Amino acid sequence: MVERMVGSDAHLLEEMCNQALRLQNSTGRQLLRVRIRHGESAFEAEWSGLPITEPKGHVVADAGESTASGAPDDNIRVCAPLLGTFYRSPEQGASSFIEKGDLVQKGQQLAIIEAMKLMNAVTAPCSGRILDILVDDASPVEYQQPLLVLEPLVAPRHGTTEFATATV
Amino acid sequence: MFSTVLVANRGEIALRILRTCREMGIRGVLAHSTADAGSPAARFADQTIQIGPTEAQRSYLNHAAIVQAALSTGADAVHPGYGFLSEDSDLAGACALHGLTFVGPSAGVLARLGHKATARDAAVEVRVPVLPGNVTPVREAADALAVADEIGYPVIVKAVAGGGGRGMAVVHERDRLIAEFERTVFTAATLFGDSTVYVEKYLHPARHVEVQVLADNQGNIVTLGARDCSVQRRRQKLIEETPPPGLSAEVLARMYDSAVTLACAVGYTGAGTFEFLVGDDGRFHFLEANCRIQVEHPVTEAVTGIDLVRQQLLIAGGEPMEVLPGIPLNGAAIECRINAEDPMRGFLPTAGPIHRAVFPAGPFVRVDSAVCDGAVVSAAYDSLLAKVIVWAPTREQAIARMCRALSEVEVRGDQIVTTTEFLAEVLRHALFAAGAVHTGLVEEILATREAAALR
Repeated sequence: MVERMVGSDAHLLEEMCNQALRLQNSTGRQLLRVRIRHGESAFEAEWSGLPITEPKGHVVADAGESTASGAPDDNIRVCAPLLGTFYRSPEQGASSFIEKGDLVQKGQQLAIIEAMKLMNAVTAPCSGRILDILVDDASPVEYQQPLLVLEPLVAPRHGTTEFATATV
Repeated sequence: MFSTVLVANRGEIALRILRTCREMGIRGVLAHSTADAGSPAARFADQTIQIGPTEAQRSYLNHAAIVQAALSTGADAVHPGYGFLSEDSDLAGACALHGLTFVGPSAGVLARLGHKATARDAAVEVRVPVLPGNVTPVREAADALAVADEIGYPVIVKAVAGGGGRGMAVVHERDRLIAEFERTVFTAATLFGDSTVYVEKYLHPARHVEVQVLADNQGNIVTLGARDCSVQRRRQKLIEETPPPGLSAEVLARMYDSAVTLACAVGYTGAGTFEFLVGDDGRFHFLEANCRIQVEHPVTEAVTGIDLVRQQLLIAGGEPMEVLPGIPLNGAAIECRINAEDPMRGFLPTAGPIHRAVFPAGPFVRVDSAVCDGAVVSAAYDSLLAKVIVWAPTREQAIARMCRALSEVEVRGDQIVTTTEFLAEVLRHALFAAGAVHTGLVEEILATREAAALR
């Protein structure tokens, strides 16, 4: 698969990771390693045999000298965009949108906040791994209350390298 | 009685309502914005719930968030305080729809009295005097001109949905009318989303006097005296007092009658205020109704011994009020509003951190405030920092007591200027001492000040 993209390093990395996640979702296996090169761009990925819900594996995005850090400081707390009731699944009895340890894509739905009978989607602000779910299903939550802890897959880098193609 | 009340407001009034809730054994929940998470009201509340960001439009003015907050916290009732959604018929309606009690009059009464034009209509229907002008809104500049010609200048062009002293213009000369009419229509559309305006006779000098009414669901209705709120800046009250100085018992009695007549005619319940403009000749005209607890309610509490918020909660809960008609009004009470505003710069709001805040105490002094050391005055909200209320057997002693109390006020912050000194200046002014208050007094004092500075 070849896609034409132009943008900064951060944009490239994010797009690369999204591609990787899409690929991963199609195989249903844990992504272990991603390698990205500039110029004659290449994309390498390595999978483990583990299912993706296993929280044990680790993910490294490697673009030039940049490596995404797994330090707790870089983790993102996904907060309630409005007050209401927090739901982990689309309806009662249905399976949860996500589980602890899941890898998620930017924009992927993680939960629902129901307010005044309106369902509001909580989505991932970036691609990454769900480290923790802080609120029980069907609990009331306040505006901006932390709901989930997300470990970003890549640390945004401030680079302006222009590139032409990315090969997956 | 309610077991849990959600207070959908901020600052001093939120704290004041929560205090009465606690006295009544009601659990008080504060709905607050992110900016108010650590406020004194939030610290006092039995429970808090964050409903939105600093921006009032998405927090204190967010109907859905407030109703959801009440439902999430198991509240039976919502107390809206003053300002924000306190007179919003949609919030009252939404509360009713979700089985919550809105502490205030019904949505229907709010819709009728909330609009200046319909409130005026209601007054006219029951022969409560109103200012000369047209009862129906004027749509075209030519109509405004015709109305103004008929009633004579000066006139005031007012936005139907206006409030807080905004969306109105005084016109002294005929050739200024069309320009001012168009400006007010534009302001009304921008500020209130409703460009409807009407034209009324402008009374000057005039006094602003309001009657406090309480009405319950058992058919009881009482008046609790009147407050003079003539000392205003930018049409916003600065000093309020009760009883209104120099108004005869006969005029006051007729004003009480008018307020009760109008309240009964619209089926008013709860605490409410009926505002009148009083001319030099003692003739009064209905201005508008305030369907909520008012900022200046403590002066009435001081001379009656009645907790108005308690009565609001009792009435909203369907119980009879505890006030009997003809309750005696004892002595005189004055309230001063300590605002974060610079009187020498047109009362421009000032904002920033407060390093030190000391408020008065001592005999017969009450301070309603939600400001403490380290608090940050946000430009996003009202500039009221504290209300200082004093009581004394006579007006003269009350003025002296207020001057003493203001001398104890200390609010320090690098960017903060307050109205404290200006208030003291007004209190010491010969016209105020003589009880010759009117709505142009602040401008007169400022003009004298500026003239003195130039000399």
